[in-house]
Amino acid sequence: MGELIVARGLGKSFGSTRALDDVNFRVESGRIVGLIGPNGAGKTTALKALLGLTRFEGGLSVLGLNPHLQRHRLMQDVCFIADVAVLPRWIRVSQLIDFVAAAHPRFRREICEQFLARSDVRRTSRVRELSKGMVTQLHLALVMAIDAKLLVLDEPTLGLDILMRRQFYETLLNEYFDEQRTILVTTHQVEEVEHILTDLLFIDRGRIVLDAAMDQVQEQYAQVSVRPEHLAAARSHQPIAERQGLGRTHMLFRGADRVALERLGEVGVPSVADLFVAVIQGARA
Amino acid sequence: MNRFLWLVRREIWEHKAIWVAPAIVIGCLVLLMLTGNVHLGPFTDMSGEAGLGVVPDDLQVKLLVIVYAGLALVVSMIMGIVGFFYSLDALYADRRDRSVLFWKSLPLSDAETVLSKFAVATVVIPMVALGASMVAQLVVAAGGSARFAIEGLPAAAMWRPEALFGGFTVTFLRCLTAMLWYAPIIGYLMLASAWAPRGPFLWAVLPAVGLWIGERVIVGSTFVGDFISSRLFGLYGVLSSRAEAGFEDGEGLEGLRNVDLVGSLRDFYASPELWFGLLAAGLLLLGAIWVRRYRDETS
Repeated sequence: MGELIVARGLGKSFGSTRALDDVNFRVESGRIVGLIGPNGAGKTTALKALLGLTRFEGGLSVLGLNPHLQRHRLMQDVCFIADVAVLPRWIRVSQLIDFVAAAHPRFRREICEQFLARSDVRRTSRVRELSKGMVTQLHLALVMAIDAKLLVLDEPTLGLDILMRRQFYETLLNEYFDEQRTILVTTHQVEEVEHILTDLLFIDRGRIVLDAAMDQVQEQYAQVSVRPEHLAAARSHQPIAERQGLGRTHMLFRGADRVALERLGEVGVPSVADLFVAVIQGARA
Repeated sequence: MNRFLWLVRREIWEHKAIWVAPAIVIGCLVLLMLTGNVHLGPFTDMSGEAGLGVVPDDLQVKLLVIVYAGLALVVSMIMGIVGFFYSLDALYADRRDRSVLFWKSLPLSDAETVLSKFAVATVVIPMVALGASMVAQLVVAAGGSARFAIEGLPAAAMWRPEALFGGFTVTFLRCLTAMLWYAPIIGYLMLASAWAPRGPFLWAVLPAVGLWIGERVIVGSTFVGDFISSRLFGLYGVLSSRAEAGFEDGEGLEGLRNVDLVGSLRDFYASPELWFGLLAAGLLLLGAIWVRRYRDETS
């Protein structure tokens, strides 16, 4: 169905601060997009605009709808987890499932039950009696049972231990995601999402500073562990970032000639975290 | 429509006071009956040798209806307090614990949500009040007849269907009236609940108190204060103006014949106060929906 999200000149101010400033991007269907930025970069504001939870300036269309004005219709096809803590604490698991089943036309109870059967979540428990990990499992089970075109996750694994985080993303990738679905995820725990993302959107100080598909990133950027004797030569290729490692200097190059780089040291694909630091620092410089 | 009922059901799950409070009242009443600590209003004065027997038949029924309606008044006042706090909490509790972000992730419109909560305050809570009043009547009828039997009085009098039915009718009409009377108050509380950044109680009460005191200090009049107190506490007057007049007019038992329990309601339904109140309720509710829909959910 092509473009799921189109943002043109998206803006939003809180008092004198520009939370979003002329943000432009597109998200196509069947992608897993990571919206990544430091704290206060505007990630959550951007998501809230997409979900119709906040006012914005400029043009924004999600599934061809204006999220601010057509929020109710949008929510038929969009699902989101704003934060693991948002399930109502007073409700029983069974009540929650009954309610979502009644409220959401695209909810399939048997899928939800299937996921829950694998977890330790008991049907008779109240949400407040569950551990943080179980609440996440419950929320994920609810969301994955909804046949949505777009799933938005805002820091979904905040406060979970590393095992839970891994499991969360693995389940999402292996059992939920397919070509008909699109996932937009924000996080600053970049390491855990990098292997599942198809696209990267870096945001800093309300602006998009990088918008690229993962395979583009792998083509364009290279990280080289430069041997000490090649330092000067390496610097002449104008690395976009440089940091010290164990006896080596790691440099990040953009669009540089591979063959030339091979001579300077071992060439590898930069991690999203390294790329993130380099791009943000470059944007701020 | 089915979805709307689920929304209402959700409110009843969340706000247990709606059924716990009346259950406690009934429980207390049962306890009172069991311990024999029963005051049956006018009846207790008449027990003894003369007893109920000397009271003319039609007045027996009337007396019982008054007792039953009085009982319902107590239950209704408690449900009124429940309704007050429910309305204040309705659009605030889920913002406080941020679960509003979960509810908003479901394809439910904010109008549906707000209306379901309004329906709980204006329909479900009065209905619970009505049901609890009926149970309370039966408890008192059982307890009263047991006591009459012990004292050798005609126990069956408590169970006269005209009296039970009469008490029920008066209570039903009063619940309906209370619902219409308090609709604008509920709308106002829900607007405060939707809007308050925190502490909706203060956000609801302070503007009203501020206007009241401000008017007294600056202008020296008490229009606002009178208006607020008549809206809050005027319902009793609406319900019972003619009933009380009956008590005052009459002499002794015969005065009971003049007690008109429903006549004052007729006055009420013809008054512009009611209809302007409902209009205000509608506007306040629209305000609450608008705030709920468009406020920025900042975390």
